[in-house]
Amino acid sequence: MKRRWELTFQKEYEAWEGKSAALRELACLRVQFPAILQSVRDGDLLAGIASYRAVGFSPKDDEEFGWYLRPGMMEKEIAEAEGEERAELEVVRDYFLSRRGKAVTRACMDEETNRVLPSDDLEDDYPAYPLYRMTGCIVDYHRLLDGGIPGLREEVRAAARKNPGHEDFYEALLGALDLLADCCRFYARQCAELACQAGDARQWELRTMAANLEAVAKRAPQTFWEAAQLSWLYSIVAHTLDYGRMDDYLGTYLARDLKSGAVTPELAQRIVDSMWLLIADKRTTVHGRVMVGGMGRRDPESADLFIRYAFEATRHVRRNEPQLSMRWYEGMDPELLHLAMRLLGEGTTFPILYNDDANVPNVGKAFGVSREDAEQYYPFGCGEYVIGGRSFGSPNGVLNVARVLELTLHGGKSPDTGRQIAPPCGESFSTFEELYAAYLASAEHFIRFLAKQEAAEYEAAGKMAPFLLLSLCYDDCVARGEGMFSGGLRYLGGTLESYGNITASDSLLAIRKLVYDERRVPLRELVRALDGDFPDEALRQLCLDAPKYGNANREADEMASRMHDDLCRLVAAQAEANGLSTYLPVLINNDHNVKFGKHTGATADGRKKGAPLTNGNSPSGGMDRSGLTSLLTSMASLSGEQNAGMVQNLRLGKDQLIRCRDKTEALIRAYFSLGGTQLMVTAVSTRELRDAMARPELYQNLFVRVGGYSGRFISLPRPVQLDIISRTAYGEA
Amino acid sequence: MLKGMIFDVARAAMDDGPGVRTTIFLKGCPLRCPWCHNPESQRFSRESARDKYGKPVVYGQELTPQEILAIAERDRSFYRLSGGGVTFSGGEPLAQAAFLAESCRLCHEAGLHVCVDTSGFASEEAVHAVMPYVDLFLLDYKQTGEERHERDVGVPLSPVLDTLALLRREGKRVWLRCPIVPGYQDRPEHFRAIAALEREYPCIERVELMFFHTLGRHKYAQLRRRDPTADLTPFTEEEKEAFWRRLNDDEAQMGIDISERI
Ligand code: SF4
Repeated sequence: MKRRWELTFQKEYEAWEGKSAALRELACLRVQFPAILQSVRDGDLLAGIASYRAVGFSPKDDEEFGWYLRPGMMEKEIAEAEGEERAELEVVRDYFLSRRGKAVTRACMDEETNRVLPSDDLEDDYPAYPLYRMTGCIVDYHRLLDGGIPGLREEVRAAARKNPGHEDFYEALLGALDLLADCCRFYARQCAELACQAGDARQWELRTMAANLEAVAKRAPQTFWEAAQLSWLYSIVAHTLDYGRMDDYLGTYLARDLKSGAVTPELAQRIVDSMWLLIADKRTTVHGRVMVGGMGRRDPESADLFIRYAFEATRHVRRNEPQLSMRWYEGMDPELLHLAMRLLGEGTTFPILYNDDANVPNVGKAFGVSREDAEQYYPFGCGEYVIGGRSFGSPNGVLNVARVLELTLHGGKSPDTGRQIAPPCGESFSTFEELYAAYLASAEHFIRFLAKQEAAEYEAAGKMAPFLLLSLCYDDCVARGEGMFSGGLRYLGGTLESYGNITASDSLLAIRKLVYDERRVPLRELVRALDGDFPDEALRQLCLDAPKYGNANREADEMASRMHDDLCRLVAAQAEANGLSTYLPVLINNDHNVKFGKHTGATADGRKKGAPLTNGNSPSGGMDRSGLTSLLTSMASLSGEQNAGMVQNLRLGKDQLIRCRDKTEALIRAYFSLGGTQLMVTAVSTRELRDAMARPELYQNLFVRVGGYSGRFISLPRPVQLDIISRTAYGEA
Repeated sequence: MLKGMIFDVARAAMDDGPGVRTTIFLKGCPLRCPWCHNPESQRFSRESARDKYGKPVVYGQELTPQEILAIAERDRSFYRLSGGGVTFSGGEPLAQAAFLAESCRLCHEAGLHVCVDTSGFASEEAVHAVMPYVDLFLLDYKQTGEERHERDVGVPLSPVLDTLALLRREGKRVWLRCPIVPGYQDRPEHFRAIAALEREYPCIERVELMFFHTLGRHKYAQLRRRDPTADLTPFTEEEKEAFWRRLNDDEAQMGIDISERI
């Protein structure tokens, strides 16, 4: 009987227990690869598919990182195995239970942090939760491609000579490079074998792939196809889920090959399409981000050429991923923005647009880095910014600020269970400022512990392993002789995902106006109405009529800005105490606004109990009544100077995008000129969405942006669908 | 203080002149077009209605020219990049000539691009009063033939043509806007007349066709008024397309620069 590799993996780990973490990682990676690599599929022009198993090593697995364990999958494997094999798997499971990322992190968190953040289940009724992952690996692909594997090997050797005392780490890095080369050869052999059985055209493709793989195993890539292959396979083995600024690192190869005729435009397109399909098939839901465009590219002209191929690939491969994004600034080729608008009009939801004219200076301030560094900013996953190749900022804490406000109004207790969740604060506030201060204090309490948790998680990651493959492509790790999370990285920061911000700021304004300014209703009565989910419709109407963010209403926008600035400040203030280079909030969204909404009672903005919270930094559903320009003005009014990204959704009627494409483009440019940082545009009609709910079978290809990601509309949960429909679709009369 | 009666403000208006615009709708109109989709624009006084949930809605709010400027100013950055500005529409904006002239003057002096969207049924003095501050007139051409015109919209055609002639004389820019309603204007001689106007009046830079739609229908119900076009159905997409094919042939023959609108 062939022994399962999982057991070998565990044995290797055990053998290195207490010795070198770097060599232990290498030994285990050697077991994991090529064991988990899958076959090249028919039609693939790039090799590299991995299928992660119940245990393994990865910067980010489903809900974990490092030495991870997927309990569900493991139990299934155990149940299916028999006799000795079953017993072996049980040993593996038990062994990693206490060594997995989650467990190591919890052990690194102090007692108080464990108490304030007791639950990992986002469906509980807490306002704050930790997340376990080392996510947002945006490596510097130039480091890999410029000199190829041998170039990195040289760099490691040179660093080792200069920097004695880190022998294990350097030895492990060299081993990791050998492993990457071995994976190239593994696929080269496979392609050669497959070629023997293939028809003429496919045979040529497979033989070229084999040759490409053989070549990049031993020298720097020279052609576009080779460069695409090496970067892709590296991403698979290192398990990065976002792919960097692809036009910047592949554009030069593409332009050169097209010019010399080494690749035809058709073949180049098929290679990019193949990459897109491979990314799509990873189905990460919130990752798969490919960036193009923007400031600070090495060879902008060639990069711009790649962008056209990227757009075309998105047109061909109509899937949720890659999340193609384009950084834009005034001065970039305007034709690219026209092409982007056209693509959006076709209903692709891509590219997501980023405004470098605002973001580069903002990132410089928020991260405290030079302009040169800031130009390498990169929104990964749902939209959290990091500095590509230089910084890490895993979003490992989530905070529901609408829930924090609810707790504040109840003296820190959960209104449902009476449990004391937030610090006690009394329930009567004689002025609005008193209430606001109590709210901020309560938020700060959770922010403080989420920051500690983030630091503990990095500590755990640092203890677990140096993350060799990533360390190779991040600045400073090789030179310093340290792994990513144990001092190698230039900037190790963190991010906190904040939800329900506009729900909270609109609610605060409604309370200020109704209770304190106009004295229409005493606070206690309002809170009672919230607890009862607005038994009195008239009071709810008063709440709904209070000014709302998103209408370019000064009071509402000011309240949103004030709360936003205060929260950003409180978060940022936690960096130093926790040894982080930065700690910044992000206003993004996946479907957490729906999830958290379920566990948040009625709110003073008129939202009913259980209804979704606001999405990212967008206004509440149906509130954006007074027009697209006022919405864009409101959205541009929140400062991006002290956070790591804000997501703004704009779902546009098809009509608007197609018939008024140029005007819509002008609107977007104007929004950017006002300081708007980002925009996700969806072209759909409400009628279509309703119809899609009724007849899903006809709408397989309808995608909507669900905050941070793009989702197939028909597979979204019903409340999310309803939430999307309730948001006003502009351009529909 | 000088005030105007306004019934709506549309920000990010896409179809009321060049670029992205803010459209100010002035209340009150001497015409009664059966296809009017803004019945709340017709009376000069404030009026109230109920929406379908029974919630009261009031049409009509008095604003000063300064307030109008403040509203228009809010979207200045959007005008700049799109080549847009402010449009005064109605109702018939020239029916509140003094207020309109002052509003146009303020906007013009603030450097905003100003359009006036008019039925053309207005006194020469009114047109003269606003003219210096208006960059572009959007002039409706609703029907061909004196008799038909008067029968359909309730006022004679000649004052409209007088306005057009005045604008030509004064060297003002004009976009001609032509509603196309089933049974009213979908006749060859109407299109020939449009082509003739375009030839005769070089001030017409562009002709826009506005197809009949029913988006205003619910407002008749709200106001408890009879909808004169209740039994008309908008052109179907196929009809529109067939219509366009025919028009495009005509266009080639007649030299009309036709731009589609709803
Ligand atoms: S001129 Fe315009 S506002 Fe007046 S009735 Fe005719 S369509 Fe309605």
